[in-house]
Amino acid sequence: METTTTPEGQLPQRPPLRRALDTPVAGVCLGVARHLGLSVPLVRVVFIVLALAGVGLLLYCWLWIFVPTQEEPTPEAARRGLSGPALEQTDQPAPSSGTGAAGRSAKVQRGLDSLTSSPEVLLGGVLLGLGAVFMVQLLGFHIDWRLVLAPAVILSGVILAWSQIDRTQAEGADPAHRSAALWQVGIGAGLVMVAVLVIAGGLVGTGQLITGIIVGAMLLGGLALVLAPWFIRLYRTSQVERERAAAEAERADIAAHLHDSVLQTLAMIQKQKADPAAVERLARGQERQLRSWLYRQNAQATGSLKDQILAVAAELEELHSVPVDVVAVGESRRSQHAPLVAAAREAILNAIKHAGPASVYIESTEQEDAVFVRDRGDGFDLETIAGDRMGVRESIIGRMHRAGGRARIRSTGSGTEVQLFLPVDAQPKTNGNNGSAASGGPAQKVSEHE
Amino acid sequence: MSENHPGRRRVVIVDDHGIFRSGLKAELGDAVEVIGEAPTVDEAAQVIRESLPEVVLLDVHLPGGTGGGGAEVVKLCRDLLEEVRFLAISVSDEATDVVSVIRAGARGYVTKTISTEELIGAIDAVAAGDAVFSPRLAGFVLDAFGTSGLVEDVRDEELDRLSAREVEVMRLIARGYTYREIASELFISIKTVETHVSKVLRKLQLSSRHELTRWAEQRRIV
Repeated sequence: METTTTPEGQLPQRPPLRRALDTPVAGVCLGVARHLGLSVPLVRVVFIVLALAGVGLLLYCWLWIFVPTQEEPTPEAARRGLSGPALEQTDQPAPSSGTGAAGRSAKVQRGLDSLTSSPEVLLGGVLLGLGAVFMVQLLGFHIDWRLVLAPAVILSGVILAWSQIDRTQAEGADPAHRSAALWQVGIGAGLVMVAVLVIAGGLVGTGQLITGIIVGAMLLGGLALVLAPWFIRLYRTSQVERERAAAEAERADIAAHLHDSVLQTLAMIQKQKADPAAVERLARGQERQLRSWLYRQNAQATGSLKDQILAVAAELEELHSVPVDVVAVGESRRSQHAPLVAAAREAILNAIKHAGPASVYIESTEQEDAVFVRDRGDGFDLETIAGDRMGVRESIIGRMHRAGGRARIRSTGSGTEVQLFLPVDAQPKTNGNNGSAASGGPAQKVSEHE
Repeated sequence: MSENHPGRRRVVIVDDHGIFRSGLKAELGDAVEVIGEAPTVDEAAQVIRESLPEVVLLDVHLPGGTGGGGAEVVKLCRDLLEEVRFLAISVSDEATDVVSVIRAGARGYVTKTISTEELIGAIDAVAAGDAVFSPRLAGFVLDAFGTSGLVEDVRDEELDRLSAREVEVMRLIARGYTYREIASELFISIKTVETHVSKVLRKLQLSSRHELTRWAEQRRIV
């Protein structure tokens, strides 16, 4: 195929014939228009004219059944697998027919498009046709209503039932949707059957019709008996296929996660093998991430004291490349942990900044929550460096006191331990709001040195 | 403790990852004598029976056998528990795994992120018949047995409760204290601390407390 440079021939290959989404009926016209590179209103007008001539509806229904929608996975998409996009981009600019009268023709096109794309206009057309039929009868022509109404009923029944084809797969999981879809299909089928019976009633007598129905039912029963195993088999196979696809998706999810995180980290570790600190930080960060990912279903209760302190520890560990171990016992009875977590954060930060690795122990009893932050540094004397250690004074001791709890700091030659206690029924102290005045006095009382 | 054994500890490493085994071997270096390695339950039982090490460093998750992992190795060697001591070393956060291997008869549990000196210390302690509790395991014990420890003196046959002192010791281990620090904190000797820990280990192993199993199922030691 030769490549042309005319506006109509911009695409060397036609896009595949797919029914479009988000259209009033089934997306056939839009799909055909995209496939052929024609304007949508033109295709719609052609279909409407053909429908009036009689074959348009049949053609529309034919395409409706046999052309897949954009969303439907096709065998090629499945074969492309996860590496490629399952859907191809189908949005092309509508080809314009010329440059000279571009503005006017665009306006006309837009008008045609809005006229032909709205279901109200379609409905109006149908009602107009009905009115015309009435008019013809009033003018004295005889019209066999059976021949007009029965096909109309069949048509509406078919449209009612088929409109569920595209929906059942996507929303089938929701029972409400499923029963609504079943009702719609059922009513559609009922309408079609009634209309067929009406037509048949016009051809044969009532007695014969009843006999025919009985014979038909028996035939259908016999056929169902023969075919049932195949249908059940088909249903089961599709069920198995669906589960297999779900399992495959999960495996792909895991593989993607491992690729994104673990493999990347391993690659970085190999690159930085000369720097043990960086390697350790990478390994610890990856370990934590993987753990939380593997066990995330158990961590629904985010926002518990333990989770919050774990998050703080993880963040500081990452930031300063110093390990922080957290052990937690019991579940807190309090709902508000902000002051305790903030004070613990300050304590952990102090420990890893001045002393190295820290271990955190959280114990929640029926009376109080306690947090112990321990390091193995040289320790410090609160009395001598209290002046410039505003962090300790204000952020730890003062904060705990204002929240109605207490803090103790024990510092020896072999390390420092910050102990934070917050009773379950503790209330924030109102007199602690006026800043540093409150933090000086009480802090001295509750701190203890060795 | 270690004065009784002038030579290096004879150790068997059981882990299904060859890289981890060789890494651990390199890390321990001359501090211990690695006399055997095994990657599966069955091979581990065989190697341990043949070489009779002082300490077995045992991964909790192992292939082979009937699928019981590290706990199954300990059970297979139950008659040797007087001479061979098992130290579980794991990355597992599953409390069920840790508790099952401890209840099978292991003398301690440490995580794979432990430092080399601490690991060598733990091997020495286990070889001397003491128990080794990581802060995480101590945290789990407190979680399972409760932190109240109201009873001052729990009789020895009472396996479902910890005495106040045992709770204190467990709490200090969980807070990251060494045995020496615990001893000076509680004004007792290191030997007494070790006795307390061993008693807790025994309770953990023998307690029929049904909550323990339920706890282990619900919790992961993080």
